[in-house]
Amino acid sequence: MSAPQASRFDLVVIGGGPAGQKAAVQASKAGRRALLIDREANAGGACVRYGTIPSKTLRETAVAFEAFGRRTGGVVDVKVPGSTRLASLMTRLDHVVRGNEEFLTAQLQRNHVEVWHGRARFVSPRELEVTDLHGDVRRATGTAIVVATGSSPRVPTDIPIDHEHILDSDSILTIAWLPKSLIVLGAGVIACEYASVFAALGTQVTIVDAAARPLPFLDAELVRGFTDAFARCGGTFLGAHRAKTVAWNGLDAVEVTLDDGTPLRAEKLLFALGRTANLDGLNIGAAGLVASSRGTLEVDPCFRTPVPHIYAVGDVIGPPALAATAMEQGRRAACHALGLPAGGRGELVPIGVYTVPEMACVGLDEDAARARFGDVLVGRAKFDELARGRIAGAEGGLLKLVVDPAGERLLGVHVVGDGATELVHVGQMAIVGGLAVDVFVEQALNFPTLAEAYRVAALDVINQRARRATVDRVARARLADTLPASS
Amino acid sequence: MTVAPAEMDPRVCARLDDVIAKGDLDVPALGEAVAQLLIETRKPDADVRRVADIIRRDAALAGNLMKLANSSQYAGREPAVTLQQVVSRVGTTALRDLALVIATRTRAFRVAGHEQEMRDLFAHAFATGLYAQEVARTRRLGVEEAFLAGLFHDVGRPLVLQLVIDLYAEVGEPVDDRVLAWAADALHADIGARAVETWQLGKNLADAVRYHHDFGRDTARRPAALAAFASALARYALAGGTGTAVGTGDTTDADLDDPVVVAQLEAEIAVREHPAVTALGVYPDDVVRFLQAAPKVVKQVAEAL
Repeated sequence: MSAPQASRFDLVVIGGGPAGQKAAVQASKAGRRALLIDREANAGGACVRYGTIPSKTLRETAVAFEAFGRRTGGVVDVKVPGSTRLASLMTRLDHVVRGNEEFLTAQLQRNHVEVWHGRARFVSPRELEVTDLHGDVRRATGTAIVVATGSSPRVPTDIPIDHEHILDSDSILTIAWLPKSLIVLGAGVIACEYASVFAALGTQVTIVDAAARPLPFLDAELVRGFTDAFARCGGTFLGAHRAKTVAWNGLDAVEVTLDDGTPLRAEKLLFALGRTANLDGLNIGAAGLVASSRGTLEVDPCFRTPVPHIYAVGDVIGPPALAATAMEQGRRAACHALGLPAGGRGELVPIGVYTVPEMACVGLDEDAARARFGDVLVGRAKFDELARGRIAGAEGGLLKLVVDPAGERLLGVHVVGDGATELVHVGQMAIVGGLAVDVFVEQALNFPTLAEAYRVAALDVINQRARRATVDRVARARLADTLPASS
Repeated sequence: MTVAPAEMDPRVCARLDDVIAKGDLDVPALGEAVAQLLIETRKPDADVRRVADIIRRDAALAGNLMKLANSSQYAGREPAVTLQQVVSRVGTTALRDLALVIATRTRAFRVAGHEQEMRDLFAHAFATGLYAQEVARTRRLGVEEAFLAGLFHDVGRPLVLQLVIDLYAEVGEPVDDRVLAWAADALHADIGARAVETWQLGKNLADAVRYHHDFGRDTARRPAALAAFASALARYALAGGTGTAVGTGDTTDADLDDPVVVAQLEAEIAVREHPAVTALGVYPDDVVRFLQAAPKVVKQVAEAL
């Protein structure tokens, strides 16, 4: 039987998650013919089905419980009952997921993006074969191709994930009842998000990880804010440990033995140690592509793979593997592929971690800024020193501004606490606009708000700047005194 | 009510409408011990001894549990000889499912004069439960509740049969097999869901039963799609399918004279072309894996019976 005639497109996108969606829509908005291929029928990728959207829906309930207890000062004892259906803690999930799927589907239709439902595989560098659920095959060629197939939880060989007692991040939210106890293997974004959400809901959570502290890519002060809050919820972090054996005992618990012999047991276990790029079945060899040693696709700053007309974006190229980053990568890849200006400073993408409390950052952290600019200034504002923070019973919230050695140019913003993922955008716009840190003092901000933290942290910087200027003046004067007068 | 066939006695038809409208169904109780087990095993601190005590109060349940716990699915190296050993071996969550299996078989799948049909129906229900777990595992749907969705998806059938038989007895007329078949097909999903609600097994499970012939592509009805797809797989397995038929091209024209082979082929086609394939996003290679699991499922069903 001969191969079916291939349909021709300006841009073919494989994968309908945040990265793929944005790439396809960008191409269509530019008047180009775009095809989006997705193995799932509903738009949105893992972000909508297993990841960002469902976990944040559960998190919203956890945050409400945690905040209620905190804000009422323990006057009303609110605890999630021991036998609570997990689904009952995210009753709006179907509504939220459906809303997102409908929105994304409408966006694709509105922009005339053609959508094929099926699994794609390369048959040549420019041609793809797409097999649908019933085994029917279609072919498509693209002047440019964007691989945005995302990632899946890593499947370990030594841990028997059964999706019932030992789960991964795709199946953790399918459990029927809120577990009494949970062991989380891993201390990355997904691990910490789920760990803190379940801890806030009253589950006894233990995080086990080989690293000494969780989320090592984040500012250490932010992470301390997170670990303190996690401990207040009864959570335990066991750093510098590895799980040697993991097994469901067939009765009532998952049993773990750590590398130092310490036994742990819990009702459920979440394995969240890494994700694997979704390249299986894509037959990348036929396109002339090779996976890196980490199993991802390597790209240049324009998201081009070594095969120039093939781009890769999102989780399939590795960290940071965040939805916001992926969307921007998708948009930029499409722009580059089609010769369109991408605009803006694409490297300035905020990072949001939806733990309880949430964390966010944008720009350089203290160490990176010091390495690049020297003796930078750091301004801090603690939420519990702000009127709004005290009203809300904020514990451990912190906003840090990293400013250049002259104490003027904002280089980075780091926030932990209520509203961190929203607050960070104020700083992001200041960085993008090249504003001096003084702007936060010179402009009126609503009172009482947590955004006032910007003013407090900016004042901290301005005070340090003044002290530094004084010290410099004194030093210069002393230096002048010790030098012979010029002739 | 869906338009009844002409063969149905109009008096029965009217009474059936009345019973359904009022929700006046005679749903068999699952038994005091099972009801208590459902409560006890949901407690976060469920105690093995307390669970064993509850089971001990129902001799038939205890005996059946001992038998199931010593089947190949759960058996250890040594046979369990005490109820406490059984509870320890099986685990409290699985024990709840097993108790429900036993209770439905002995109390729900029971219609006098239809014993063989009930045995077949229960075998189908159990196989559907097992398959539902496997499909749920692959598609990342809730594994814990998948078994019960499969087990209960057709629990309305015996209840409808009993109801129609009783109504015909009331009017003193013999019941027509075609009427029974029609009533079971038309009403079992709704009646089954009502029974699940009566047994207080939760809205999710009731919805899975209620919509297993009407799941569409609504994500909220995926458990119903799961039960429906597992039911088609169970039918294939119980027809003797082994995963090597149409899809692999092993079937010859001569085979098509054999009614068993034809039944298997029809069951396989029903699986491959099932609307739940689209609703659940099951690709052909996944289907093949499910079909190949048929002998294992059949073995587990045989042991359970």
